[in-house]
Amino acid sequence: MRSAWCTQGRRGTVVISDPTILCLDVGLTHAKAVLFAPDGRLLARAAHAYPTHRPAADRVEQDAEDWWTAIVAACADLRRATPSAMRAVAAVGVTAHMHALVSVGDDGRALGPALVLGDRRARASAEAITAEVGERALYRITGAGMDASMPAAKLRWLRDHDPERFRATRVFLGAKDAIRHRLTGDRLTEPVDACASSLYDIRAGRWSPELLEAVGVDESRLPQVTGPEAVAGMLGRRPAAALGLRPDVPVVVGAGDDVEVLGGGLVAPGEALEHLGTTGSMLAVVDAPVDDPQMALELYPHTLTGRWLLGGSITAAGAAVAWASNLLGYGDPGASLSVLKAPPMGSGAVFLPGLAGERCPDRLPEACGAWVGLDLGMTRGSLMAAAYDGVAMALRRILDALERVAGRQARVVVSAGGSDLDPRWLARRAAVYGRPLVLLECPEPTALGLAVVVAGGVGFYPDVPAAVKAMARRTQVVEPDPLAVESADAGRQRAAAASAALRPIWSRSST
Amino acid sequence: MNDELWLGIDIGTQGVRAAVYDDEGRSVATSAVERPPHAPESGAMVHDAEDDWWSGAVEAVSEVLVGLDAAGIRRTSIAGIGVSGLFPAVVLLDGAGRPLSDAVLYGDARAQAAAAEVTRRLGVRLKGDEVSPRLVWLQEWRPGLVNRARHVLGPTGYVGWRLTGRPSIDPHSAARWGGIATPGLDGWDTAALAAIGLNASNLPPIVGPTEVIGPVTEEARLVTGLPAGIPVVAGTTDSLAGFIGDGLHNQGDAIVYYGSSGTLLVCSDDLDAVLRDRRRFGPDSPYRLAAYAVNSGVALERLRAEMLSGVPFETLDVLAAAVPPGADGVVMIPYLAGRSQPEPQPSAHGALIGLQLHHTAGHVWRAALEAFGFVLRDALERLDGPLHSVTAVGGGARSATWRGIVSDVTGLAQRHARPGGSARGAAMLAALGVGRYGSLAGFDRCWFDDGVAETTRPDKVRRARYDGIYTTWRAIEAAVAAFDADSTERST
Repeated sequence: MRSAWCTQGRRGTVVISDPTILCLDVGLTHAKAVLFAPDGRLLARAAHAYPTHRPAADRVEQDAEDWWTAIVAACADLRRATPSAMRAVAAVGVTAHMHALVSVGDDGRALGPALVLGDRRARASAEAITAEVGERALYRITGAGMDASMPAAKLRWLRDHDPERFRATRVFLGAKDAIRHRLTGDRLTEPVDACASSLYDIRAGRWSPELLEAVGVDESRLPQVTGPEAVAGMLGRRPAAALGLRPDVPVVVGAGDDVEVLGGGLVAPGEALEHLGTTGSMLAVVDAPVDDPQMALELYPHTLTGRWLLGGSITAAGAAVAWASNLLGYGDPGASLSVLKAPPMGSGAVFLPGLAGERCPDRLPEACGAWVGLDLGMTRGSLMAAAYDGVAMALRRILDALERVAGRQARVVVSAGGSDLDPRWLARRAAVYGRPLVLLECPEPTALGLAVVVAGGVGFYPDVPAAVKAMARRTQVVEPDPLAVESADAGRQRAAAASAALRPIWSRSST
Repeated sequence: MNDELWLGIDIGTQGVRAAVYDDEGRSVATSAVERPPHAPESGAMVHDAEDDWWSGAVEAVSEVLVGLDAAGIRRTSIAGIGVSGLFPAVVLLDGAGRPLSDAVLYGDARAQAAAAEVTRRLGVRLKGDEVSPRLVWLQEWRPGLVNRARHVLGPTGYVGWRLTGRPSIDPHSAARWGGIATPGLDGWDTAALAAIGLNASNLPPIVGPTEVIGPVTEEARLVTGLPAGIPVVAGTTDSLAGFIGDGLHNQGDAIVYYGSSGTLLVCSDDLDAVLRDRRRFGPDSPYRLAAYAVNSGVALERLRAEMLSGVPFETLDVLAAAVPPGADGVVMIPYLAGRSQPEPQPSAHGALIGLQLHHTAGHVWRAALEAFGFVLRDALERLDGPLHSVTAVGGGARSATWRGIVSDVTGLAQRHARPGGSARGAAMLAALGVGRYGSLAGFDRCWFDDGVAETTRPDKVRRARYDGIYTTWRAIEAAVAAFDADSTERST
């Protein structure tokens, strides 16, 4: 571990003492700037919100300029809070939400709004691509099913409905690559974001000719795929000034926000990672690319070469809890957590959280949420507890599917943290998962995962695996209460039965 | 014009109404006082006979008498008194006439084991709300209590007894006491009672609804202000009194009751014939319970209080009105307390299906109102004859939105009756009993004018939409029923 860092600038060698790593993490609602020491200590962080626009029921858009403004503001906050640490930034990385499509013009700026996750205008395009390429072939090439959120579908939609923008685009990028393009001028990406576009052949490790043909785009208008830890370029003079950094700092390619798994220290099979925010997912590391016969689990290249990530998600996790909490009249978000002091219910009301459709383990986009098993004994508290349990049980079902397909048990579940660190909610999830929940020292696991890639990429460590070992630290383990596990198991059986009973009705139209 | 007046007193689940009518059926004075049921423990639904039934009656009667006084009308113009009451319900009284128990009401859930026992021993099919299981349950709670009681009375009989000193029960109530009355409803089946450990000596005589049980006593005069000597008739159940008071006297006349429980009651016999011949009373006569949605006295209230943050009914009504037919895909299966129609399904539960992130309380409430309509539609499809008329009654019927939904879902036009039909019916029974009228057919139609607010008719376009929505509802109902049945199996 060096306390002095040498780097090659345009004007010769620069020596930085107590170097730091700046991570830019642009999520769906906020942009964060997080400063790390090379040993993984979080030094400072700042966040700024930016708006999401919904000009129509099926359209979800963001303005790339808003990302930039938020990043600049967050960096300004950091400069005020820790000026010396910002001056000591020796390397930069960028991560962001995935599946966004940014049309970048010749001037390096976005043409029109970015189409982000949740945008559903490209439904018909997704169906057309699936029909043309074939469902199973698609799954095998891209590692996931095609739906409207995928940039591939959005690209085709642009081709058909916004030909002017389509023609004028110099390169189509994801969110993090569009942001980093502004920092260095590079047109690169790495396997995680490439995979997230659904244009990438994950096993062959290149853009898929079939998908490119299906969307009508030539490879020359897509970024070049390289490793996440590769240096994409040096920070340009103008962007450096905007962010308050010295120019010529190396900027690493980075990775899509699944890099959170590195922040969680997940490098080998035998563990799973839980991400619980507005959406929820379970991820596990596998040694080789595996096929889910149901095509519900998604396969991604791991940031570590040679490894893969198998995962599944539910579209409404925190969103489902918030929805129930609001309907039931719990004023502030924390107030509803008190219902978790009672043990999980083996009987009584069951909540199915598919309020925004189901993805995993069943692909049922028309599915909705439900409460079943209601009786006169129902109370606000029991209905709310059912909602919490429903979300946890939906994640457990994904975990079960992961183990089945990976052929390997997950001994523990690492929690990526966030607002779900309430001990009652942690204990409940540990009971529903039926195994220990491991907590992380760092409150920003996505940014930390990125810092790991940066540290390994620019040479703070010999390689990324060494960086993970040193920087990603775990703290507390929440052991499941055996009695709670038992009643949770009974509850899970009921939830599975309810899910199966309602499955046939989701495809009916009610109007 | 005769200056005779008729007083009706209705002992309801939520309170007592009293009303005085003149010879043209105009209400000269009315009053309504609240006496809601109590739940001293989980599953209980009780009144206090003295503080709720009698005190409520006294308060309501005092108010109308004050009303008469203020209008310059002599109290002695009251020529007859009729009483109607909720059912099935029962209270035990000691030798001094004080209650030995709570008055246990139809929605009380604590006597299920006793009901199973009565079914076994008597071979009768019970709905679950009858009085005989209550008596068995009370006997188990305090051995010998029921047999020691001086009187065993329902609310109609209890108030009649307080007014006249004479115990009684009407045939319609007796028919719903759970297999212990004789088939002809002229007395009690001593063998059946013995089989469940009870004796008949403290059960009241079964008296025809229009038969006079006695005059108002001096003691009652002192408490109520009613002149002594006014004849009191036996009266009947609040439901039957409601049919009578709302002018629904013929086969095929139906009442849709919009309350915390929803029911469809269809008149299955000519009421004049039934009043003349008590053998025509039975559990399904003179009207049948053809549909029972949201099975209990508290289910919709539970939904409102627990799931919808206690938002007031009036607000929910407005929110639901703004939601289109089909509630944007939200579906409610309303069987929060099991299901009794067409076959008893105690394993049935409620469910709320089709939820999405943009749905709010208005969608949920709309789904609940529509569920009521769908259950009714289902029942209507199984009726063996056409309906002659449909009248919407009950607190919930005040909602034009809800009535509109029911009309659109079922295709029925509904008269909306104002509250108070039961008290009017009780008063009419008094007028019949005293001999002022010879039959229900003899009452002028003007008797029923006060009672009708308006008629709600189905809208053709919405009706067509609901056809498809109803089919979807049935499919969801079946899926949920499969889950509920499985669920029960797994836990037993």
